[in-house]
Amino acid sequence: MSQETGSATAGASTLTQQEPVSGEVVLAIDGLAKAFGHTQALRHCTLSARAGEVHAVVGENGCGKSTLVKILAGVHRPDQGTLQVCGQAIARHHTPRKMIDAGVLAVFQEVLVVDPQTVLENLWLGADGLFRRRVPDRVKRKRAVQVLVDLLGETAPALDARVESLPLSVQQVCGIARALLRDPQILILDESTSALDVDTRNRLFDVVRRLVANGKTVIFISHRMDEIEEIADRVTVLRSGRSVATLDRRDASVPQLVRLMSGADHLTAHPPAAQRATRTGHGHCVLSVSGVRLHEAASPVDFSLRAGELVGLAGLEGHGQDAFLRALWTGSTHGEVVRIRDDGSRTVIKTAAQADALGVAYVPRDRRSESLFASLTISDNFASATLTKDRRAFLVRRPRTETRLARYRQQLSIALTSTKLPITTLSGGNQQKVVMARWLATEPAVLLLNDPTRGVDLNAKRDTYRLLEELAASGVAVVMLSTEVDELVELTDRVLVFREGSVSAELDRAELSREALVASFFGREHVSDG
Amino acid sequence: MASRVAGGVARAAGQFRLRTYLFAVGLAVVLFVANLAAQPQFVSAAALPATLAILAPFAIVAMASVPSVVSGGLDLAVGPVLSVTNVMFVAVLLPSGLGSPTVAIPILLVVGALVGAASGIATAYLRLPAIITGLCALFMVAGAGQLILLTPRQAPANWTDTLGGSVGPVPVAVLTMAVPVLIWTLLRRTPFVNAMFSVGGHAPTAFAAGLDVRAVRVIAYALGGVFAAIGGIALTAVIRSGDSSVALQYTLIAIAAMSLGGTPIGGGRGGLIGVLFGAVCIFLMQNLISALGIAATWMNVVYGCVLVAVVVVSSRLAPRPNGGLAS
Repeated sequence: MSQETGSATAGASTLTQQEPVSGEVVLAIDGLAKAFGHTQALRHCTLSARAGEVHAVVGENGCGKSTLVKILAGVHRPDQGTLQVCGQAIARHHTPRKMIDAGVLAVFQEVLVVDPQTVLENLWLGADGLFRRRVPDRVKRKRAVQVLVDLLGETAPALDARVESLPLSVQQVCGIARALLRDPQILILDESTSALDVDTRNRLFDVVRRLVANGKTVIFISHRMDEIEEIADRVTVLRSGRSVATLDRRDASVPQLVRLMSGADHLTAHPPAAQRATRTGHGHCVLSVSGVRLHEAASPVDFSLRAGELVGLAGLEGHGQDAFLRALWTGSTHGEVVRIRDDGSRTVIKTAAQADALGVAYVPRDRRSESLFASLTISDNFASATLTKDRRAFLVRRPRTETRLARYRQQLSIALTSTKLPITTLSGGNQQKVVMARWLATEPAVLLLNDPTRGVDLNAKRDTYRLLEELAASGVAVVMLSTEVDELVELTDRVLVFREGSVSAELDRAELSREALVASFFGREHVSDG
Repeated sequence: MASRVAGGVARAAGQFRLRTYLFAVGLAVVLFVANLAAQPQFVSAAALPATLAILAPFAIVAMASVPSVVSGGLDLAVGPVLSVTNVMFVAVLLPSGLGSPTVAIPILLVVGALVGAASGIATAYLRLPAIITGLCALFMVAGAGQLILLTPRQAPANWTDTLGGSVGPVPVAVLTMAVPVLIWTLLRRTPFVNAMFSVGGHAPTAFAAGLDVRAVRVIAYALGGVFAAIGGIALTAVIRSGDSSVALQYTLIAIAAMSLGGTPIGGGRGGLIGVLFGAVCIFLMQNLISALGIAATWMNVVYGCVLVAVVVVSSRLAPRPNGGLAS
């Protein structure tokens, strides 16, 4: 059917691009396949998106979503299959430039910005010719302000600020704004909401609705079912590199989607509530924080963490939760972070290395820059923190590493073909699992996690939750920063909510609910007397 | 009092962080004063044109490495290109009657551009690491210079001699050095300079945004080649001969000037003016060393030490990535 529509419009759309009628197929993908060395990332993907719809693509990590997006963006060339945009076939040797000219703009999962350049330059990157200005400066500034205010409201950054000075979420907004400024016919959002706070995400959704109302198409990729339910018109499910179904959103229930994504029946979105009740009495205090100030104007934070406890950190992006989590690992110059060991001995943490030695492990958020050795293999990445365990007479015994990794591979359900392959051959979620395994292998008493399930699929999330519950049950104290309200509510014993650099609320399990937590982000609920 | 001084230092450090070239400017001023103290006559009206003429090849070759480096590459052949231009003019163009400025200058600039573009193509299209293609180009072009002219040859009197003099009150060397600055300034009015910085800042982003990353790199290298050829002409004015042995030395000077001038190898940051002042610093340093009567054989050792110290200090002042709330 898509083929017919494609050839019918091919005659009509000549050099001057015609506005497609709503409902017409503007993007027709047939049988796309792509392999990277040993890994067949995409096997057979067929999909057609219409003008005026939000077309969601869902699937587990490693199902080929990101590869699909990169082919659509012109970054990767497909091995097989065809691609038509507005009825015109796209040659296999396409480039981002050609796809942009065809009206296809993609925002990737990775935050793609040029750090040392200004916001304005980042927003209009690629719009000019090499020597010729296609867009006058005046227009650039005006439209850039417009689009930033649309997405960020009052918190829009100055156009002349360097992007590297901005928080990650604003950098991601710059990537989104860049795509919007080029007037996309087809806008692809690949996990673009994962770095955004709730307000910004809602404003992005407003923009998406406006685009769709004007007959544009949005390909929307997210692991968050609530977002899919909120914004998508149709949903295509990918599994192991194949497109398995396209459903109307109205016909698609979350359990049904999960079933299609995983190919199994027994999975539900969340762990049974009964499991939570098992964890009650906590051990002694393992980490004590007193008087830590996150910036000069903020009021100090006191906090104590007990063995077997699972504490969440939450708040709007950039309100201090991130800094607090890091302070637990690196110590703080304003205030004290004290590690209390089982034998009662107390040590003030002053450096990260010291924290590591004292059994405090930190799993960072930004895989690419903070935790992965991209050029090393999976097993090297795993062993990097615990290599001494495999040492005998000054030499490292590789088989030992493999044995140790095998345990975590099973525990975390890491999907991999060989541990000797570069870590970059794994999907994002599996990379994250390897990083987790690296730190779990140090057998920490305190585990600090910085948004561990960011950009990770439902099944991988479930694996992570199960693991964290097991760890807590075995007496490990876990502090987890999360941007996902549901997991904080489901999983944690209590949540510290940060606002403007200090703890504005602390919700214990009895008080924890979606509504209460979100309300506290905005300081709408009065702070409890504690 | 102490706190006011500390505040001043902090403010100055803040300024340096925003404008990395200020460091080179500051150091140049200090070195200039030191030179004045050691050898007051070096900026006298009589000596100034000659002094500036010696500076010119330093400054221009340093500027020649800027385009490739800010766009994420590393053209190590700038010194050899300068040297090839020099020997080509003296040993090929002058003897064969092509020595007039209207003929020789276009030929030399085109040769520079072609050699630069060739390194650029090797880097951009073969996807080899920039340092490898840079080294290959360094050896090949330096070798080509030696093939043209192995032993130094005196040049007959020609138009380049005037580049060491003055036009009215203005030393001609100032005009020579102004040419790359002028070209750069004109290019700044097009999107190209920003495109170079974007490609050097994060090539995957630039590529995904639709920039032709390869074309930007190749043109950047070619531009550097043109600058280096201008440097070769300026060198001819100083040494009044053809000499293929200076190739490596000038590449090293260019790299040192870049480090001093706040243009890190890796790309995306820095600029032409900082590097120009970086070259001025190196020139003044050399001048000072010889004025103080330190043996020339010690020159390279002193050079290296000063450079390490300076790079450490200036990198401490460089912008830090992404602070956030904590610190």
